[in-house]
Amino acid sequence: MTQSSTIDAAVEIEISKQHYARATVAYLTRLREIVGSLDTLTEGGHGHDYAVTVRASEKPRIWGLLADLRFEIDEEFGVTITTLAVSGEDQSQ
Amino acid sequence: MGVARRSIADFSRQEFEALRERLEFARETLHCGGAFLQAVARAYYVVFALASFLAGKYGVRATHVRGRNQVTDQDFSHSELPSLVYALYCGNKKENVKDPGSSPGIGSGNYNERAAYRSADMLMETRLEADYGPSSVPEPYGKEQADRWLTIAKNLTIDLETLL
Repeated sequence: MTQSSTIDAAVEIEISKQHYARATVAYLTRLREIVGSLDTLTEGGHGHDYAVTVRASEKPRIWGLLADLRFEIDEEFGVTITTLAVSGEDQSQ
Repeated sequence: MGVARRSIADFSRQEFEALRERLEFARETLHCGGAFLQAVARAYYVVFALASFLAGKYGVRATHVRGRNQVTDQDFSHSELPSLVYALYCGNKKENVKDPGSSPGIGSGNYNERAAYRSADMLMETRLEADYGPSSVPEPYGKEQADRWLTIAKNLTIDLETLL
């Protein structure tokens, strides 16, 4: 019984890992559609999975799209992934 | 032996109204003084305080990690505001808000639950920008954009008020 439970738990963790990996791939693919190049993608902090540097003037528009993306991935995979938009060069520069 | 901080969900109606009045006064004062981004930050807190108070009324709870422990309570983090608002709008769970409580939902408001989630998230990001965001000028977005965000906050507030 104990062994069976242990095996079940191990399988569950493995499936969970695969599930998270699939969610991450889908997330990053769609994130690229929003912000174009992901060259500026870094590991996030303060509760964010990722941070991406964008022009400061584009942030308000991108915030909404990132919120939609987070919503969709949670709906499809039950996984919450967030991205912080960090200010890069201003559009005027 | 410190005194535990009370979450807004535990506030009495009088305590909540006092907090709300303080935040709304600050919002108006900052806006009149030309501190537009900070005015939006105060408007964000009006929404956060209202949603948190309503969570207390309807028993909405989030499951999150505190230290090394996983706990379920009504002390919401700012990143949980969108899913809290979502739960209040439609009565369904979302992300960390695993227990949506008994909100009757908002039938015909300014927003549906998805638009409300998006709006709450945008306000949260704006608040972070107001308090921490690097920029070369104090008001990087100007009055027009700030007023659009204030309208979003007002629309959310009007919708959520129907649950008071």
